[in-house]
Parts: sequence; C-alpha cells; structure tokens
Amino acid sequence: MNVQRYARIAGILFLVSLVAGGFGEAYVPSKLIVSGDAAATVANLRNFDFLYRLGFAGFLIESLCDIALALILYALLKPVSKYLSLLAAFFGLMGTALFAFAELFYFSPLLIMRDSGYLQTFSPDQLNSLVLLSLKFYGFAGMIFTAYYGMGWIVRAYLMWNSGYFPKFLAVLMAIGGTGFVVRNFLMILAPAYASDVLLMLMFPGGLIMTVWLLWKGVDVAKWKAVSGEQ
Amino acid sequence: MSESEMTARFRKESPVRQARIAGACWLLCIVAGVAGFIAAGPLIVANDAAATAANIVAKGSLYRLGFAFDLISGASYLVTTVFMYYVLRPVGRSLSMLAAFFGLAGVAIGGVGWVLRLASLVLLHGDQYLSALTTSQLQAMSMIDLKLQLQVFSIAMVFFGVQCISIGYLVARSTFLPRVLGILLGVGGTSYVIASFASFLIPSFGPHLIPFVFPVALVGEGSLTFWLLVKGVNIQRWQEQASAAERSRT
Repeated sequence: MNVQRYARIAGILFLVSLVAGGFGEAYVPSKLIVSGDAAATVANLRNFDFLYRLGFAGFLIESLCDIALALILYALLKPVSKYLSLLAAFFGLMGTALFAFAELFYFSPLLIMRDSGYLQTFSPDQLNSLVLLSLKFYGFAGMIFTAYYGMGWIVRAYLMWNSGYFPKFLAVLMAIGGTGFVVRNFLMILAPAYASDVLLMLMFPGGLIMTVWLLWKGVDVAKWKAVSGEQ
Repeated sequence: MSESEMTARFRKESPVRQARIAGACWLLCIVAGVAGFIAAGPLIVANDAAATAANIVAKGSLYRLGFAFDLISGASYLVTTVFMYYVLRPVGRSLSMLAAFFGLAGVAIGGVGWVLRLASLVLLHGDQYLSALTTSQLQAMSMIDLKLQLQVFSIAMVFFGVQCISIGYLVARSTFLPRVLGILLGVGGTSYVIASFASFLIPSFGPHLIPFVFPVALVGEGSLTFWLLVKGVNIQRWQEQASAAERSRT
C-alpha cells in the first residue's frame, strides 16, 4: 500500500467535501429558507429551484466523499489499532447513512410544491406549512448524525495521537471538533436552548488544517512503515 | 512508555479485554435501551393523539431523556458489534464480518427512528408557521409519527435478530466460549425475527408475541453479556483457534 497516495487522496476528498458540504448544507439553505415564514420560503424555492437542487447535489457529493474517507482513514489508522479504526469507520458510515435519510426531508418540499391534483384537498396555506415543516425536519434530523460523526472523530483523534505518524496537535484539534459535535447533539436533544452552533464550528480549524496537512505533508512515511511493519 | 511501545501494546491487546469491552457495551446498550423505554414509553396513550400530544408537551424532558438514552444505546451497540467481530473472527471470518454488517445496518435503520422522534417535537412545538393546520391535525400527524417509530423498531429488530443468530452460531462453534450461550443467543435472535415478521404479516397477532419475545431475548443476550464481562474468553483456546484459522488461510 502506497500510504502517501492514500493520504493525498484523503486530503482531496476532505477538500471536496468541505466545499460541497459548505455549499449544500450551509450556503444554499441559508439563502432560501426563511425561518418561521412558510410563504416566503416557498416563493424562494420556486424562484431559485435550480440553486435548491444544486444544494442537494452538493450534499450527495459530500456523502460520496465521506464514505470513501471512512475507508481511507480506516486504512491509514489500522496499524495503530485495527479494532478502533474499524469502530471509527462504522461510526462514519452510520453518520452518513443518517444524514442521507435527513436529506429526504430536504427533497420532499419539491413534491409538495408540484401542484399535483391529489394535493388539492390541502389549502395553499397548508401546503406552504407542510413545506416549511419538512425543512424543519431536515434541519433537526440533519443534526442527529453529529453524535456519531463526532464519536468517530474522537476515536480517530485518539489513534492519531498514538500513531506517531500524525502530528499530535492535529489529533487534539480533531478531538476538540469531535467533542463539539457530540456535545451539540446531546444539548439539542436535552436542552435545545444551549445547543449553540459555535460547538459545530469547533470542527472547522481541525478540518481545515487536516486538509492542508494531508495535501501538503501527508503522513510520516518512515514512522508509518515502522509501526505497520511490526504487525 | 514510548510511542512504539504504545502501539505495540495496542496490537497485543488480548481477546479477553476485547470480550470485556464487548460485554460492557452490550450491557450499556441493554440498560440504556430499557431506560429509554421507561422514560418515554408511558407518555404514549394508545390511539389517543390528543392525550399523547399533551403528555409529550407537558413532560417534554422525559421524552427528550428517552431519546438521549436511545442514542447512547445505539452507539454502545456499535462498539459491541465491532469488538464481537474481532472476538469471533477466528471461528469464521466471513460470517463474523456479516454479523457486524447486520449490526451496522440495524443501528442505521434505528437512526431513522431518532429522526422520527424529533419530528413529533417539531409538530407539537406550537410554531406560528403551522397555524394553517389545526391542532388536532398536528396531533394526528404526531401520532402517525410515533406509530412509524414502532415500525422502524420492528424493521431494525430483523437485522439485529439475524446478527444475534450469526453470533450465536459462531459462539456455539467456538472452543473458547460455552456452547449453551450461543444456543441461547440464537434462540433470542430467532424470536426477534419471528416477532417482527409476525407484526408485519399478521398485525392483529404480532403484538401478542412481544411479552414472550423480550424475556427470551433478554436471557440470550444477558447471559452472553455477563459471561463476556465477567469471564471474557478462554484465552489459550482462543489463541489455538486463531492460529489454526491463520494456518488454514495460508
């Protein structure tokens, strides 16, 4: 296995998923969804239909990257502990599966807004409410994956710390990001008033530096060989 | 301890330790699952959407607590799934991996239930944008949502059941765990699968099986869990079976 190539591919996947995810999950929803105003939201979705669909495409690309990353990070960290690296991969797969289900609610407004005959039993106001309701489900459901995604990163950070071929500061940053995700999720469920988005932002420094590091430095090949050769 | 010693320590991790982790997380999964049911279960009044909605609004913290327990239960089951895979790999590599994948699929399907749990909270939140729908319509939608959660649970149980049957078979075939534990787990897993299919195929009869299924499953999962936690595995026989498996591969 050419470990440096794995590291570079991981870096590229990180970069693509940051851009596609940022566009699909942050930029597009923030432009189109008007919190608490169903009619305005529906008008936006009608006027910017293609942008809305692009957001969905962005999410799909991000998911593809996440699944591939789950496998590549498993391979990169396996020499440290095959059990824990598989566990991190399972957490990663689980997170992406949950997020994909949440995306269903992002897509369903397009069906509700289609003026199909069978929907005429609902008033236009009711249909608008259902559109915003669906987007609210998406907003909350899209956050449930964070617990599992975060746990995956805490496990990986622990492995990175012990690996010797990843810098320790990067492990610390990713552990902070992962913990923020887990805490944010449990607060959202137990005490929604305290579930600040700042907790999600804690992933940003680690994610960004990790991307740059993988593309620029990769892993310490000599140490990687030493650790995996002992197996 | 130097870095290379650290990593060496990881690799020499004994199967006893893995078995104990699997047992501990399995126990946590059962306890958190039961706690989640105790917290949120009584809020649901069968076929009374208004009373159920009133309960969820009035006792929102219990509903949320039950939800948090479910998340913990799912996460600990994933840990169990991974560690059982490694404990049982010397008995059968492919079947052990298959069991783990069924476990992963089961937890992911269970995750759909968590999304539905949040949906009830959104529906009953009393937000202005929902005023085009009447209160009783919103309550009815929330009730459908809660009923769907039960269906999701039944679907997930099929996958967990097949996982338990596979693990039970591997335990029975292993030399390092008592055969009876495997048989008990296999019976428990089979009862999950039967109960779920009964609830889909004969809805009038399926729910009557539940009072029998849970004790049977609890005996199967509970006995293996405690054995793993207290005794682990017979390390010498585990190593014998592992090296025999390795020899036959090469």
